[in-house]
Amino acid sequence: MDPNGGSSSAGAADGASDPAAARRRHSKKPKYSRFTQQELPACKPILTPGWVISSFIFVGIIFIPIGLASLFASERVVEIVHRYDKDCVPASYRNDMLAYIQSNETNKTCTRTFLVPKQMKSPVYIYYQLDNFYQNHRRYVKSRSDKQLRSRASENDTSSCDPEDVTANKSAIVPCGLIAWSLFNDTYGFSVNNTLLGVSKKNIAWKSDQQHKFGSDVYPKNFQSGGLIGGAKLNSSIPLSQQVDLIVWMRTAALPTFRKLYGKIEVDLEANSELTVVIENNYNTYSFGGKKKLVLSTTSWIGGKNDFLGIAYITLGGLSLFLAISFLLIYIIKPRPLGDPTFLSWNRNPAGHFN
Amino acid sequence: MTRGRIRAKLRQSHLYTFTCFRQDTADAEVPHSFDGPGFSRIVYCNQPQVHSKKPLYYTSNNISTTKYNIITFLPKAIFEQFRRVANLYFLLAAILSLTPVAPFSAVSMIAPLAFVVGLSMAKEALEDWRRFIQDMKVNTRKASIHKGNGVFGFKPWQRIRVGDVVKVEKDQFFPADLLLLSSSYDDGICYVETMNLDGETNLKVKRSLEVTLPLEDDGTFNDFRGTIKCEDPNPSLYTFVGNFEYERQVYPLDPSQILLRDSKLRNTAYVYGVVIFTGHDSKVMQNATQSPSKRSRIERKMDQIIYILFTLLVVISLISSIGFAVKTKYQMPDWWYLQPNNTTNFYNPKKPALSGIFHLVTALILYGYLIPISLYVSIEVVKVLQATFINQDIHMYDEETGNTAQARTSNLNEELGQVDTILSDKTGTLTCNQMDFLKCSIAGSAYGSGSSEVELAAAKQMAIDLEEQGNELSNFPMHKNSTGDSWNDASGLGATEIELETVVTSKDEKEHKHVIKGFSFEDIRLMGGNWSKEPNADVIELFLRILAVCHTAIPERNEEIGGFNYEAESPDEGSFLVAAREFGFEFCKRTHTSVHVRERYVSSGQPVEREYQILNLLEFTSKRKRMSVIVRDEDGQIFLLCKGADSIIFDRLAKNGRMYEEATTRHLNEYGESGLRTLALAYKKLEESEYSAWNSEFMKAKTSIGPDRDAMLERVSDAMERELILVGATAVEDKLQKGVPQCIDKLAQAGLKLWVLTGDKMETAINIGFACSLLRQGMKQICITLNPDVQTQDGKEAVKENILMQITNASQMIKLEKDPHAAFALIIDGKTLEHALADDMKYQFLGLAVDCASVICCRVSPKQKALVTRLVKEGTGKTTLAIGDGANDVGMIQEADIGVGISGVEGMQAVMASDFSIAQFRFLERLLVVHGHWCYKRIAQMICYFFYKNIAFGLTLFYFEAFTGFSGQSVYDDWYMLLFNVILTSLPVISLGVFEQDVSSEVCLQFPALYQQGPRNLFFDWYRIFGWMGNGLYTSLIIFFLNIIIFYDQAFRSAGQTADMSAVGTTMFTCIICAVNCQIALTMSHFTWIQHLFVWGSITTWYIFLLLYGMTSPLFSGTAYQILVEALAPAPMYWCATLLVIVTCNLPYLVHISFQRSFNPMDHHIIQEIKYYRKDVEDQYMWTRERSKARQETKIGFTARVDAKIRQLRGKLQKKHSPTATNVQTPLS
Repeated sequence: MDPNGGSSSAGAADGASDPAAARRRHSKKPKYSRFTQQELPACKPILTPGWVISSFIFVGIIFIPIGLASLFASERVVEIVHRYDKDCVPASYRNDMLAYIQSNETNKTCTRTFLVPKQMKSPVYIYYQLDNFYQNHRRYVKSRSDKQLRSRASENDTSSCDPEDVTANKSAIVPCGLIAWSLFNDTYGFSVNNTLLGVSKKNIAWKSDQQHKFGSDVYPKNFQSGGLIGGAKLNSSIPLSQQVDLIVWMRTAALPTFRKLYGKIEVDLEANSELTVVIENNYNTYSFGGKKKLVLSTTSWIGGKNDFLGIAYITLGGLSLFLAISFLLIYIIKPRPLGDPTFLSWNRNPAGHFN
Repeated sequence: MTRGRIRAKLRQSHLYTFTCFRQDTADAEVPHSFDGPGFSRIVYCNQPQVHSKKPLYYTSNNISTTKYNIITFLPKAIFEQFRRVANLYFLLAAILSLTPVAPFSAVSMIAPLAFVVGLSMAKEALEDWRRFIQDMKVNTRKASIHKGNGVFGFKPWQRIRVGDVVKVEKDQFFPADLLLLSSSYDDGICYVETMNLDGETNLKVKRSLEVTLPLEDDGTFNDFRGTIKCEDPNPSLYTFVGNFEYERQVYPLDPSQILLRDSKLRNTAYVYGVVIFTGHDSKVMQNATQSPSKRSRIERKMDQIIYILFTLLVVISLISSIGFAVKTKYQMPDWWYLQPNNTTNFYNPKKPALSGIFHLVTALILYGYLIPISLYVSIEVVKVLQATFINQDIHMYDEETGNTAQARTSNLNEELGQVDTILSDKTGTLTCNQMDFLKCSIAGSAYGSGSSEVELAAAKQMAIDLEEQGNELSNFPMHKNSTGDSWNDASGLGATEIELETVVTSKDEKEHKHVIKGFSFEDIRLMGGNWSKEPNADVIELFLRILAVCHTAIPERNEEIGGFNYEAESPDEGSFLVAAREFGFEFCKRTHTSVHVRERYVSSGQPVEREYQILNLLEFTSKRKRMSVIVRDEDGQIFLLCKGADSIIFDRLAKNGRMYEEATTRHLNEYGESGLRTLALAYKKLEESEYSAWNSEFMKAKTSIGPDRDAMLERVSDAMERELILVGATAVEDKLQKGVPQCIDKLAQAGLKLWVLTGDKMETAINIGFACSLLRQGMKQICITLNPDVQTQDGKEAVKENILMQITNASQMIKLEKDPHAAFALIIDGKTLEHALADDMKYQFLGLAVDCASVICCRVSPKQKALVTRLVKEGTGKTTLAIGDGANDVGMIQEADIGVGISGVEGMQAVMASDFSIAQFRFLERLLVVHGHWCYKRIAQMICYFFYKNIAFGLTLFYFEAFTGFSGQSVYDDWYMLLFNVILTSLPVISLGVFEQDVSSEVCLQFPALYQQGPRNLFFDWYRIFGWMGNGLYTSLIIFFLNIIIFYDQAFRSAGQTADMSAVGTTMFTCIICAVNCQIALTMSHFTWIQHLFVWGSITTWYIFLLLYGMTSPLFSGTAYQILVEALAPAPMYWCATLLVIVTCNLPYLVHISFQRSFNPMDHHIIQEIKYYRKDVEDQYMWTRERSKARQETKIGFTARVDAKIRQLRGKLQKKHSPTATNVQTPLS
């Protein structure tokens, strides 16, 4: 029968009291927590004019000094850039520079002289700069074997080195791959006022590369022994971890124009002293029209000569200050009191509303 | 079997005069003759074992609504996953990444995909598991089954087989489609509530065949055998064709013997039935359609964005592959360092086209970062979490039923914030289908001081509004003491004040709880026998007697409290009986011929039981709109007692019976305005001779056979029900669910339109319209109905034309209306709707409906509900939400953009079909205004940000290509890219999507107008989307080119080293991570510790990752080995570049939002500011004022009603003060 208790049920009494009670027993009532009720304490920052203006001013104050500092540092850097790819080709070969560079007979030595414009404090870093050289080409970047470079045990791990992986008789090339194969092989000798300058190669490669990526028990093998000779040859008695030029070269550049560290001169170069460079111009950039440059540069805390960073910082800082002033003016000329209800949409467009 | 056995209890089921006499069915009892396809089912009753094997094996009663099972889950779910274009693209990319074409390692492609797909599948599995649990609940319900030898025992529903004999008790659901064999009533009838099937609340009568009547207790089923041959399973609820072979006789079966699964046995102690259709064969399951998978508007738009990005992807891929082909053909032969003569097809200068094509594939994979792989999965994660919040919301928990809100599908959360039109069911949704006797008017005086819910709500609102307008109307004496006021005598205003006063007083009395169901009457003048002291005591007595006698209910002794419960046909009647009981006229017994009423307050003081002999009963039908009984009291006097719709009764009053007509009419109007259901009560005294003359006529009509029997009966009844004397009127509150008027009001203020689609008749629907403030006095009601004259005379065309004319006229009228406050309500019934929904008329109809403030469709079928929903959805192109509780709402729930089921009631169909379920209608407000608003903004911002960050990242890859001869080399390490979407930028955006709150939930509720940001789509329009994409483009340009210029060729450290590819890539990637995370911090306006943790944690994670990655073996980390420790961190340049890029990237956005906030602030900005400065606390007046102003222009809801009333009063005030005012309107006319 109808278990309707408690109330005198009229008409379509639904007898719900009992099941409801049953349901209440295993209640599904959500437990209250600030998390589930989305009432966690929160900070609700809003962009007040004060915040806007002070943040712009803040950016301005921070950025302009940084910009000035880096611009100043950049100004202190002395840099000599000397392009030699064309000038180092004898006049007779000027029309066919490719033949010149590819020939074994031609004399590749080339002597250049230039003045040091300002005093260059040691260390003076020597870079070579290549242009239009796609060290970042996918085919190129992939063509190496980190395993092989790292340990002798993986000497035959050349699968990723295509097409410069094995010699004709299938023995592994160490170091394999296009990157190593195309190692830059121009050399530079420096003298100032006819005194020879030593070129130090110490610390031009990353320490981690020397210690962990290029094995001290891995020696060059079958390198540049095939029909096609790419770039520099390696002394097979020196382990890879000591082949700093190779290590530097193997760090592929991000852009087709790049500088790589060649070495450093650890004496100061006085202003107006005459610097003579003897260049062994071996490397073929002529086939693809790439430039070769020799760069001598000192550094500052931001590295090399880099005006852009400073200018960018100053510009941005200036822009921020300008914006701060503009907003200040805006707020003065056309203030909108914060939280002013007259700006609510129903107050702005009262049309249609009842009064 | 003998029929004359003594029964312990009254088993007379029949009160239906018109059907009292079973129609002589001799001519009808011809078995159906059918054969062939569609009629192959054979059921051997009480022999379920026959049906356990072929060919008579039928499907079990186990139902399953799951999408997968253990075996099909993997293939099916995987298939579902890869139906998404983006996923398919990533799958292809992952497959291709195994070939040398790929620019990345295979794992960096496959891992994120596996993660993403795995997560989505896990979600699917979880949802399906929930469905399974739901099914199991139904399947394991117990039913009483005949186990043989006349013994019944309980079995779970799922083990019920075809042919089983089932005993179903009162208020239980039928476990399968049954053939009714017998019931606790003598004549084998039972009452069935089919609310779950068609939403109709009135009980239906089912009647068993006469031959099976003797099967009336458990024992008789020992050797019961029979065979049913019938139609095959089909979804038609109202048809059934079959034959029943019993004791070598064949009897035809029709729908009236069939009890359908999921309907409920009511008012009947028990029934026996034999199972015909089980499980998925049952009619209700055949009706169940797969709920269509719905996608939100935002998600559909997101697809378009993805297509745009795909196009972009293809374009830049083509550019780079053409570039590559050109470079390969013309320049690569010169690049001796690549050994161009010794290449594979990927880089063959002799076959540039082929290489180009290969490269296209590479490029398509490489630039895949434009398409956020984690977008779908992040959105899924976010939506599931949002759904959890909805489920966990304590404010949407219903104490009574113990139900929480349930987001049953999580992919529509944000759609909740964009709803434009709500289509609502009535019974069970707006109302609880319970009637409360609230007021009455007897002999021209009104009794009952209780207020309907809507009055209370309106009074509250009025008090607020008046406070605010107090300045303007300083001389307006409102709810404060109005005594002695100058214009107190104005009749109209007087009435208003009384109304207001009652409202205010009853508010105080609210503590006084009435526990009697169906009775909320509060008036000391009638209670406790006090009525006898009233001036019109004799009329009151008559009034109460009519209530106690004129009905068709059956009393049922309630042993616990010693009183009576009443089993009435309609809840109205039940409430009358309860009222009569409370007034001292307790209806206690009904026999075939009489009604016994125990009268408590008679002059003698001792309760007296009086017997009224029922001579005739003229039944209530929707056409007649009245019912009467003719009784002979103990003194032998014959009375006709009549109750019915006021208009009908007033037409039938005698000249001397109109004494109270005027006062009663006024009261009826008041009641109507408050949304009460009213009936007028009347009587007439009959002379013996007059009666007997009529009776013979009546009997003749009743016993006649033929098509005009009903017409004859009606004519005869009609003749009797004339010359009545009005006694009074009743007002019953169709109890609205808790908080419905407030909720409707808020929703209206939020700018939502509400359409009510109900199966109820027009009068009820209109009453409820008043009760919910969808209708009010002064609103112009446009009723579109079939003109009966046109209908009978001409064909369909004429009918259509007539309706079209009505629609056009109404549209014209609205167009010509000048008063801006004029409101229109459209009321249309189902039959008319049938024509109005025809293709050639529906847009006119829709146009009219859209112009009206409220739309009420009554007498609509479930299918029409769905059609109306579709019309609104497709015709207006706006988001629709359908809410309902019964199976009749399933169609519209599935059709609407969002379907909401009410889970308070027992039936689960609507809930099962719905996307969201809530326990009560009032929770809809919070669901939409709070959760919908939040979810919309969250998802919109999240998607925009997603595209922004992926464009910012993806395009840098493209720019870099231009510097690598388009060779497909990426500047970033594979691991960076893998982590970008999956870890480094995903958590902040998820926290944005889950926790962002522009304003708190209280503010959302206080300022419903904020909701309009969703329907107006302010946060996901193309302007905003392209703005974000532009921001992404800008960011990518800044990040790439600033870094490239800074690291171009110069040393970046004081030790002279130049930056190699990994240094540049890592710096750039650092910039990206920092820039996009700072960007999201700027986007957010709500930081809990979680957001802080995720945003700043992501940046920290990047550095930690870089540190750890640099510490792994160089064979694994490659060029990134020790990059942070050794190369980048010691270089000031790295930090300077990062800072510069971050600030440059975010500066324009900062300027943009600062500018927008100062000059074009949006509503939520200002509210944030008010909250920030605690102005709401300091200046409460302003806060309250803004709260009351923050409404969309609304013409429905009680606020609008109050506004209208105030306008009216103010108008009157002016008239009053102007000397020419002569005619003071009453506010009720």
